[in-house]
Amino acid sequence: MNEDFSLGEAELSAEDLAILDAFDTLEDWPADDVPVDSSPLTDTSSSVSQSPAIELDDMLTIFLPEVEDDISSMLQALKQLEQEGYSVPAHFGALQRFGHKLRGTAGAVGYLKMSEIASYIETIAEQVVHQLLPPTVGGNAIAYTITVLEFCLYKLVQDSQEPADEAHITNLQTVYDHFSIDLNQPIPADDLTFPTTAQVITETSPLSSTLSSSAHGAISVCAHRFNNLIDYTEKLFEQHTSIENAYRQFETTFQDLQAAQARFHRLEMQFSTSMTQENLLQVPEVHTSSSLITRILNSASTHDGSHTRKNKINKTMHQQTKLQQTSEWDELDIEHYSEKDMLLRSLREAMINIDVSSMHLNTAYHTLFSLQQEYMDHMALVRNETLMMRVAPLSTIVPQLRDIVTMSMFAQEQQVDFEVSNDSIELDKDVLARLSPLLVQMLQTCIANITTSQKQPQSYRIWLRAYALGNDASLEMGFSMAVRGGAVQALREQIRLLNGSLSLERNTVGGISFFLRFPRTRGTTQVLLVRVANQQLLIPLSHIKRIGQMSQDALTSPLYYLGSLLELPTTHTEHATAQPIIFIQRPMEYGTCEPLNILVDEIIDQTELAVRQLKPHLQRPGITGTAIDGSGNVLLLLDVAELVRIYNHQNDEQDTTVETAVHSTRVRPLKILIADDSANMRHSVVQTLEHTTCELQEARDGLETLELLKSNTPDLLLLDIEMPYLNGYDILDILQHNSQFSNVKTIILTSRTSDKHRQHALELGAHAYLTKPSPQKQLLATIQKILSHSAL
Amino acid sequence: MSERPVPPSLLSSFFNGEHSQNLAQLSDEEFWRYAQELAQLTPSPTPPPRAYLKCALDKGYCVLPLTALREVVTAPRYLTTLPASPRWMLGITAWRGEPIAVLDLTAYFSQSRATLRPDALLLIATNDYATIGLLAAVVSSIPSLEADAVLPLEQTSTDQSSLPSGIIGLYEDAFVLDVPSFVATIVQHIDNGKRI
Repeated sequence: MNEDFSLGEAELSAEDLAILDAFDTLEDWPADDVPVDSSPLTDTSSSVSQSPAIELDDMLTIFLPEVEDDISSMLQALKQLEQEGYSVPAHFGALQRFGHKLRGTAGAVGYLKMSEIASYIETIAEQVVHQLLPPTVGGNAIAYTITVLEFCLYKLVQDSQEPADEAHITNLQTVYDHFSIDLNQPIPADDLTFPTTAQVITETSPLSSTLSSSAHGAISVCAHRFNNLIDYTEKLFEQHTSIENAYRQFETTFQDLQAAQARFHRLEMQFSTSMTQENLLQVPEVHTSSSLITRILNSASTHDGSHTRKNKINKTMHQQTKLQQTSEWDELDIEHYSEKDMLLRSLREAMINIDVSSMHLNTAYHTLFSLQQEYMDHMALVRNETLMMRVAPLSTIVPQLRDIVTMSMFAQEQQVDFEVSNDSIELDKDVLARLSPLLVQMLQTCIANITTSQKQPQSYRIWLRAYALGNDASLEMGFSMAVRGGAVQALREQIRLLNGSLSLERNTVGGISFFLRFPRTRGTTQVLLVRVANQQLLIPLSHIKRIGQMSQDALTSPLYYLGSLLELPTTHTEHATAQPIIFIQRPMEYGTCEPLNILVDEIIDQTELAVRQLKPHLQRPGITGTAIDGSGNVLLLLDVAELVRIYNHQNDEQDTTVETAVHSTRVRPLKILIADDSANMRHSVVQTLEHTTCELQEARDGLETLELLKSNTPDLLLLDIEMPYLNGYDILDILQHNSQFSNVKTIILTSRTSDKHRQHALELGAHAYLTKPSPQKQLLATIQKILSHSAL
Repeated sequence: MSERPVPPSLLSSFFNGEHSQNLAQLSDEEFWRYAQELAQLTPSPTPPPRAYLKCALDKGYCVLPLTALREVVTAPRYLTTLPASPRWMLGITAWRGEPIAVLDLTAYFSQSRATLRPDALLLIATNDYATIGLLAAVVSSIPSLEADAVLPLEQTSTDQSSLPSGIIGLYEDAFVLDVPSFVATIVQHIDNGKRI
């Protein structure tokens, strides 16, 4: 499984290289009149074309294993390329060489269809190497082509001849059309002189039929620039939270300004009133009026003894003047104003200026706000349209899957219907590119080498059902029959790359259903913003069934406080009746839907945010990503169901510890689960262990093993590798990735003897590896050793 | 705009706080001549500055080379708590649009619980694989620290077992940090936390 497979020249044996050279030379020969004895193959013992006397059977004996090896090598090369993320197009060179070699060998022995198909592989790989085709697209197309090649090989083995019809070649052409692959595209003569634009004319959204058709005016765009464009639009879109935040700050500041203005007005009024009162209390000097006549009269009055009366008149006039000052300002009276009057006047002028500016600011703010809103709406349109350029319907990859089912050996022997529903859901092109090989591999793994006890062909079903909610997509790949194990472990890495999760369960018709959940696009996610303690957190809307309140909802299942799930420090333990409860319903991994009631302190908002993955060292179970809000704060996106699972598991562990400490004298019988598809083997192990005090359980296949693991978790699992539904590696993988099974010890009991299998099992967490038939003594000793602290 | 190379003498005087004083003492003519000289300097690779930042710990100090830091910013007011984190980790914050771990440098050295110190600065440290924020109380800068001034830990009486990895030696009373290695160790510790 983990064999290192180099993609360089090294993977071709000397014999392979000799054949390659020979065919290269052969291709360069003139079509006619070349004497046989001048062939460079004369000295090449492996050449098939050099031995006209070889009978067909002999040729097949040589040819078939060679083709099998080549196909196997190509599949391995593809697998490694996929693990590399198709990051090095040059690594397609190995596939090109294998295709080239197979084209030659198949052509030489007269299997022209296989030769033609192999030439497709060679051409596609060559186009990828020359960066005329995106590696992901090339990889998918080659994977599909290899499937067809395998089908031809199967027919060759079965019927001693290639398939008679041309349907598979026609299907291949259809698939290439889907992928926008032009097999006749010329390869530039010189890599080095090839224009840089060749590197950029790489992505034509090949998985999207909508883009691949020239009728729709599709154009080739630079993949790098297109990705940049998406990044820029994402960043621009993300700015809306910052802008909204800035607006909020502006509003707050503007309100403060208005409050300050109001205070200013009040102070001015107080100041004005105070000055009036002050002036009323003061007996003014005689010089009160600005009028020359008044001053003359005033002066005269000091001489004619009418002082008192005049004073009274002046005082009244002065008061009137003061009182009028609020509305009038007589420049001619300037010399009679005090400094306070001047200050008051200036203050009023400043205040009027501020009022006017504030009014203008308010108008400008509203204009800017409406323009900004308009801009953001356009920005959202641009972003959505840009993202839409990357989407394609799921139906794009359905023909490929259908062909794999149809061409499988199982479908040749039995009647198999492949049903697809809701394949119109649209997915990001990158997601589709990753999903396609994943589903192909799942199908290939599950239906490869299935044997049924029925002699007559039976009717079986395989179905693909798609669901979409918000940015989440969910696919069910269901099988009505027992399938071959190995899918879970083989797909783990691909699922991780898809940022998805896989669950499985027995379906209603007794077969197995795999449920794959993943984000549809790398765009934004609809989330609920909640507060717990001083932390703001995000819950995907697609996980939420409804929202209620503690006081209003009668709870039928346990209530969890989100702060406790995250181990956040909280200041109180009593929760108010008005606190919101979020009802979560989402499928648990390897289980069924379990409703959860989650208590939070506050529901802040429902919003749409661009969610990204955390760096590996910051990733935690139950936290699926992060978003950054307008204030630059990091918000965690939660998978609450996973948090609850971890919380319960930790509590169970604590309870177990306490229980063990308190009741140390009480010994619980050890539980051993024997998982083997062979009834004889199970019986034999049961006989070995029946004299012990252990509680024994038996599982007939991988799915039953998983069901028993969940329902009655054993202390020890005796695990076979080859089992239907899920093989031993799948079970080990599930045990390794689910902390609820962390206490389960595993002993592999298998007929596989090679070190490769042993090593792989131990890498996946097996505690011991025994090969069948294992002597009773050895089995008991190993169990004793693994459960060293327990008595059997 | 590319940075102009600054004479080392100026750099050191800058870190000594004498730069402005020196400039103030120049006459106009001297100042403009100096400015002209600076302007005419041929751009060349800047010699690696040996300036260090000195940060206070609970017991003693540590020094970090400025060249190994991406940025020095004020401490964030809000940090997001990450579950299953080491006790000396304060949380995560966004730096240039990327979430990074922030830890209390003092708490990391003493393996104690982190405290958000408002007067501390956030030193953005990085290696080839990760970026982290070190919240530290910067006490001073060391304009130049020669390699031979650093005493290897082996030659000191310090109990190395109680020290985190990534310390290359002692300079006076301060631990000298090898930032890339220091960051790698911290990232490893944080990564270990997720296996719950």
